[in-house]
Amino acid sequence: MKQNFNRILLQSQSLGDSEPEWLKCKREEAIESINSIGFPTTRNEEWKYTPLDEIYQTELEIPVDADNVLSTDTLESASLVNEPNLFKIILINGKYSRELSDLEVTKSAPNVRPLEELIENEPEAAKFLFSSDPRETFSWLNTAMARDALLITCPENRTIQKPIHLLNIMTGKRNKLVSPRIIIEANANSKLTLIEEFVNLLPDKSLMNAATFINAKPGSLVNHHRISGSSSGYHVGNLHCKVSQDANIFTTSLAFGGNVTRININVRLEQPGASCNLSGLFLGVKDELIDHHTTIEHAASETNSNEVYKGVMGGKSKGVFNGKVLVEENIHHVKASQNSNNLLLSDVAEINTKPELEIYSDDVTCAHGATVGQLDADSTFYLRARGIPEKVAKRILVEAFLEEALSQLPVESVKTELMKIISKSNTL
Amino acid sequence: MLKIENLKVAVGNTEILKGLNLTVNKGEVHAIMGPNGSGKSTLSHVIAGKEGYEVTEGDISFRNESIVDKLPEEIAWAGVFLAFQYPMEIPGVNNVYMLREALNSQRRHREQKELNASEFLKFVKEKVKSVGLNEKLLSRPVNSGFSGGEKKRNEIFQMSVLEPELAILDETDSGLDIDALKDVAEGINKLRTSERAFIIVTHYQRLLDYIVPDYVHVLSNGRIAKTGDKNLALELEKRGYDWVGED
Ligand SMILES: Nc1ncnc2c1ncn2[C@@H]1O[C@H](COP(=O)(O)OP(=O)(O)OP(=O)(O)O)[C@@H](O)[C@H]1O
Ligand SMILES: [Mg+2]
Repeated sequence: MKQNFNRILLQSQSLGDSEPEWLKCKREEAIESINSIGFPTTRNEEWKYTPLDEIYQTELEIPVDADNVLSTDTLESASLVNEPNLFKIILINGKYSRELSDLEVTKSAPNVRPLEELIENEPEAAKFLFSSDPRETFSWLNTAMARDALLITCPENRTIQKPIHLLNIMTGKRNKLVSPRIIIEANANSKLTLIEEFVNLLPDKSLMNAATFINAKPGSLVNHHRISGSSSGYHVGNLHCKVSQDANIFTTSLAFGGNVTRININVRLEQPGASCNLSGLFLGVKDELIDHHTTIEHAASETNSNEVYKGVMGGKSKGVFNGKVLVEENIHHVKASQNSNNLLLSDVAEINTKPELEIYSDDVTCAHGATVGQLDADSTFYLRARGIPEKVAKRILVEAFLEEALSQLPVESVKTELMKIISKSNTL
Repeated sequence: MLKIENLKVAVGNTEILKGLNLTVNKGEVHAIMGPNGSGKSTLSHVIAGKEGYEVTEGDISFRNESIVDKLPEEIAWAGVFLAFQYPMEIPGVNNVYMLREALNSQRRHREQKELNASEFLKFVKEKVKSVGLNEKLLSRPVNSGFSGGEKKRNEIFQMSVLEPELAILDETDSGLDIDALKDVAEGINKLRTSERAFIIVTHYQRLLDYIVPDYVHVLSNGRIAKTGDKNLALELEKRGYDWVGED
């Protein structure tokens, strides 16, 4: 069944001819790991809601240079983010495009270096791009297939004022597997805001398998927002964060559209004082499947985590939220809270929400809650009795429901787009 | 203006209104009193078009048009306003934003020019003073965390902005302190014109000291059991409801 999909692993070897030996090794290791474990199916507990058979049966191609072209018109209309005041980094089919990016070489800009440049000038830093190896199939797949990798660093004590917009576009011809790989290093006491956006311009059966690594060093503050919102396609997102002493990471995932979207977020609070705030918002209006699996590991004392996920499912869509919180042994003063609130807009839409708490320490304050409901009929009537038409009344209530998750987002245009998607669909 | 004939309303298998008749002409103020559970709020909701009630017999017409099958928003556009006994708290929806949407929906429907945010704010600031609502509440979410009295004032404020033809006030006076009661009464009196009508549902005579009704009805067991003038309210205050329907 997975023959077609496995064949793509062979393509990887032929493409990597000019790469340094260490990288070839890395890729081979990753492929071996995949081969030993295999790709997950709905028979795996962790993947039971995520139907990937169709993509496994598709003959996917790795993009070649000829695929990596994009007209400026297409580029401009591709993104939901329309704010002018951003550092713009553009990756086409996972490959960094210096020409299209807009970084202005000032002291306040982030330091952005692609794989090729590092291999040539700083081989050790290049190795660093492939040093993290989460033991998970799609992360291995990214390691094996990523044609490029981008290192973004924020120097010590520096605050990057403007948000950095990382626009990942999948384009070309035929069905593709695209593997963007981004490594973000927030050095001690630095501050930065990132908006990672994933756009698929290809037909249904293409797969974007993205891997992002964030390393928040002591005292740093990282604001990270990830947006996957294409009309079709398969999207697997892997986000791995490490948070050091007194560092803080905010990460929001906004997911909508597409055929199947699976997002794995893993945050490890490694040292005392580390904290994280995870928020998420997923929205289905047709027959999408949107699955978030998050894991927060409290590996040190005095660590805090706070998680709020919201789902709005209409049409025949399915939403999944699985939030694991792991508190290791012998650590103290740990706080963890988790909330999953969901709204069903149709009778056939589905939500599966599950907290998974694994707590091996006594000194933990832990709270979690999950709700699944419909729009409140009395509130709807109240607004309609004031003369607001039903559809608008419902839109206002959905907007209000989403507000908490969206309030963190630094770009207004995305909120407007989201509400347009809801309004245009027939779910209200 | 409003004509209710032999109205029978059921929720599930329970009949709540059992053949109710009521006619309200423009310029009139009708008070409806009656024991708890007699169907006063049900009547208000059904007039305003709330789903979940089944009209099994009879009709409600507003300005000579049946509104029984109309949507709540259509009834609002026609000029009916309901001040809720229990105003809904709607977290996340800004009070001014909601009200502008409401007014503009109405104006759109009547082919009038919509008000932009700053025009609306100017318009609203005048109104807010006239009903004694704390201006800070305007930018808060609708009724969210408002005190009981603040919610009621907010209803009157909304009414003054939407300028309805027929206002139904369901126990707007309940839970108000004396000053608030006066403010609310004043808010209502300011809107009184020869064109507008009010239905005031209340348990207490005291509001009627400020707003003198043309008629007082007693709603009991799903019907109008008695109709009189303002003196009926005084009598009810003294004697309770037990004697109603005896003569
Ligand atoms: N949705 C409903 N389902 C079942 N019964 C209902 C429903 N709504 C109202 N009722 C019943 O109908 C009757 C009338 O209720 P209603 O709220 O209209 O009374 P009311 O006259 O407004 O009372 P109060 O003075 O306490 O406000 C009550 O017995 C109530 O329990
Ligand atoms: Mg009542």
